[in-house]
Amino acid sequence: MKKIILLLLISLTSFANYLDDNLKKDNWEGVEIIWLVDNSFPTYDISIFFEGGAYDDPKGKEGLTALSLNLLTLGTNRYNQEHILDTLEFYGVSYGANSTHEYATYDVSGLVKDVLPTMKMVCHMFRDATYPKKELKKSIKRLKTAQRRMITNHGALASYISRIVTLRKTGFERPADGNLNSYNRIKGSDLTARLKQLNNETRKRIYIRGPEELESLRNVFKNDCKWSNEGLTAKNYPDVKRGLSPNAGGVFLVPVKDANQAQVRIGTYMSKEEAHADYALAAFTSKFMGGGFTSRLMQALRVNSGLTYSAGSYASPQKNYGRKGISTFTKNETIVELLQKIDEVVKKNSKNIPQDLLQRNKVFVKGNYLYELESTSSFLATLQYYDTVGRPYKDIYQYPKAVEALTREQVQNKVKSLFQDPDNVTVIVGNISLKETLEKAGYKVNVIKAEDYL
Amino acid sequence: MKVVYLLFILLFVSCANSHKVGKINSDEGSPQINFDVKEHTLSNGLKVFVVENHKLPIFSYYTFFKVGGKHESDGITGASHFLEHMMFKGAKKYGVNEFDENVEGNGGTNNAYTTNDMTVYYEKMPSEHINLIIDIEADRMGNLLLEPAGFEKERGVVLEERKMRYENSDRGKIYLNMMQAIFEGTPYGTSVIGKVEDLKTVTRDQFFDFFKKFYAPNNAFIFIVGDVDADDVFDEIDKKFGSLKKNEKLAELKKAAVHGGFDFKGKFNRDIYLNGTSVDPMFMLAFKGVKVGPRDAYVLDILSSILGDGQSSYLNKHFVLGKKPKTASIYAANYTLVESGVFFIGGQLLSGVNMKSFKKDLLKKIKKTCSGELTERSLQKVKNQYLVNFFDGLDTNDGIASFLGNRQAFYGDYSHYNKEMEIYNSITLDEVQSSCEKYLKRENSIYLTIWKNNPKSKN
Repeated sequence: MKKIILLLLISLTSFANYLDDNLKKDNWEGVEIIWLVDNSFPTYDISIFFEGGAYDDPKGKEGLTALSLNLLTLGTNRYNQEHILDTLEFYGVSYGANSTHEYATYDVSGLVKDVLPTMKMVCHMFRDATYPKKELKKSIKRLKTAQRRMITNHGALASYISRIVTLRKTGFERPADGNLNSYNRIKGSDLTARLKQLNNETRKRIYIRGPEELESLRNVFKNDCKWSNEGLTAKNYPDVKRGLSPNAGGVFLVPVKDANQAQVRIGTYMSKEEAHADYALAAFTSKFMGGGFTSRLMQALRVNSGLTYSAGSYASPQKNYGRKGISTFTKNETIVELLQKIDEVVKKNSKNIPQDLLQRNKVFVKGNYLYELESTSSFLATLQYYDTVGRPYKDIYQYPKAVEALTREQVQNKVKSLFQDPDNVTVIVGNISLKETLEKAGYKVNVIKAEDYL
Repeated sequence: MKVVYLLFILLFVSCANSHKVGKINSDEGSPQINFDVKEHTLSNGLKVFVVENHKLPIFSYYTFFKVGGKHESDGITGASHFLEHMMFKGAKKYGVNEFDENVEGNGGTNNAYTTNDMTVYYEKMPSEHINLIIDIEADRMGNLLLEPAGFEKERGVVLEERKMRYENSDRGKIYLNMMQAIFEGTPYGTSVIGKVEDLKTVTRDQFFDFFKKFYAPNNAFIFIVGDVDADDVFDEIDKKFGSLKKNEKLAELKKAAVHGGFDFKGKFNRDIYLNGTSVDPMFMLAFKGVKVGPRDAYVLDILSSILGDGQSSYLNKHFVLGKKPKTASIYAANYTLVESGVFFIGGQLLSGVNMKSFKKDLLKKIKKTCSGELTERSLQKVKNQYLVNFFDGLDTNDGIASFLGNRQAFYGDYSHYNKEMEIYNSITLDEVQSSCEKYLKRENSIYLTIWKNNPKSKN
């Protein structure tokens, strides 16, 4: 055991040295550059981080931030959609946006030899996108079809509805990518206005992985993108407090035609304070409960009872709030048994975790942490996440040490506070016959329609 | 789904220059990478390959068994996949549930997957546990328990997996039906997940029989990449696997298992209607394809990318972005298996689009594209995309073990990757055009649709 800890420390020290040697921080016209210098490949990854997200989308126009970035390729004053797409894809470039409530990113990857014409095109799109009416109409129609398709993926539907129901009244419940109603309301002028905000009024950071020659991008960002953080202030969204959820303690059934399996999501949200307190403890506890084949939930629900194929748990801090919960599924006939078993496992582990089990899971979690940092792209994503939530990079290397120091009492209490929360909301996607089954077992079931959430 | 990508995405180079595992030369568009692979074969036929990478004190360990869905017959469909689950449930030395406890309890992680052609197991571990993993893997290859209580519980798990992936997913349902229809009457037509009735009735004895036949050292090879010493690994593997007996009858058993041959025997030029939950119809148009290896397989990879990879692909430009869009999404893929293949185009219609008229348009568009619409620029674009993908996601032990192992499994040569890029770069527009005309024929196709209340569906 000691040898493993020592090996982990050596590994993390080598990571720390690697970071010291290869992480370059710069400031290009006030825009912070975080650059992982990597000469191993003739390729690059660039992630443009916007300190503002879907929280700012006006009511009824959910998805505005996401669409303003995802639809940049629809056309500019100079180029039509076909030209833009053909240019980017001819270089073999991957590109796209990711919008959360608190921030948005635009990510570009490709070959270093083509980085200048590629990024010039990307900057051109940012400065000159017009969202032509015809193209926008077609895109909206496609988005609506994709949104309706969610009903065919019961797992995704359960997660989507669970997020909305659990975060109700927090301000963070609205879907960042929009919904069927909001797609009808978003106009080209809304998109250009939002893009203007992102260009001129939103602080940015740029994350780069690639060789030294990418220094040539400095002028592209300055002259073509014309981005600057000068005069811009940091964005602060309201901190989420507890006690807001009108759905606390509720059980919601979303009927789906002919389903012979029930998708189950149990959880609630965390306040900012709760989300960021004891980060190592929360991260470890969620993995202890549902983060591997030997996790408590997998052992109880799959290995020992064959009730499901998979079961997982999470405690995910965002900047201003967090989410925590359990995710699994089972056949219609065993829904009650599954819910009871989850309750039993949570209760048991909030009171009595054997020391040897805890120790074994510590080794598992620490070992896995190393694999998560193995690839440079996931390492860069980790740095971006740490910057977003305001956590220092040194915590990356201290996590294994923090895990090692956890006591069983701490983990037991955390199991209770994370997964035995009285505010927990249960969302089940499955056959309508589950209503009767659940009610017979004493659950008070609220039936909600998937269509009302899409 | 984008099977062609699997051929490219997993090359490895360490993020720290001092630890480069593969030597890259990519000056002129055809990257050449040379890995220092050390190879060893045991007298029982087990082959072992090791690539040393001392960047971090971890390693990845892959075991490829050359057995999969194609080796199953009626009554035991899904056996390879079910057996894959049971391989984690205990053996003689490392008993019930001790596999996961030993791997995860020592800081590792593990999983497995089953295809029509093979079953693959993999672990990531701290390097000091290399001998433990060798011991565990030798134990389960030689002495699997198939413990009865665990067997019954796992039956429930597999049935739930089937529901999740196929029965409660329109996407999964249409894909499963496509594979069964295109390979009907061949060993690939049984489906990897298996029939529900077989999964419910298959017995432990049938599994033992299947295990004894195919989980032999001469039907497997191991690929290890990471912070290990190759010579030490070979010594330890000799010690632990050396006593396992080869299956002398393996060749004839495998021949007998894949009865019927791989020539297409199903009914083509027909439609299959499925009932699902999607409001807007989904479709798949599948054509007879080719097996992995021949030049035509590479040409069809390129054709699939030209037609349906990316927003500027032919089909996307026409059906999604065109003046009168018909679909919300469309894609093409060339899926090459060891003995056969399928080329398919899939997507989802926009609301209000008539399925019958869309099918007509799609076939017309394919015909037009095949007979002269393709351009040199579209070919070059795909070659550029493949070059980028060649380097994509290549900085983990796992990546290289999977990448090299798959080439060993499909081509019998782990170093085949360098030839692949040469072949792709040598393919001409005429070849792509000819393959398009040769393979994408209506009489060699099956058209599947699925949506809520699909009018002609029977299920």
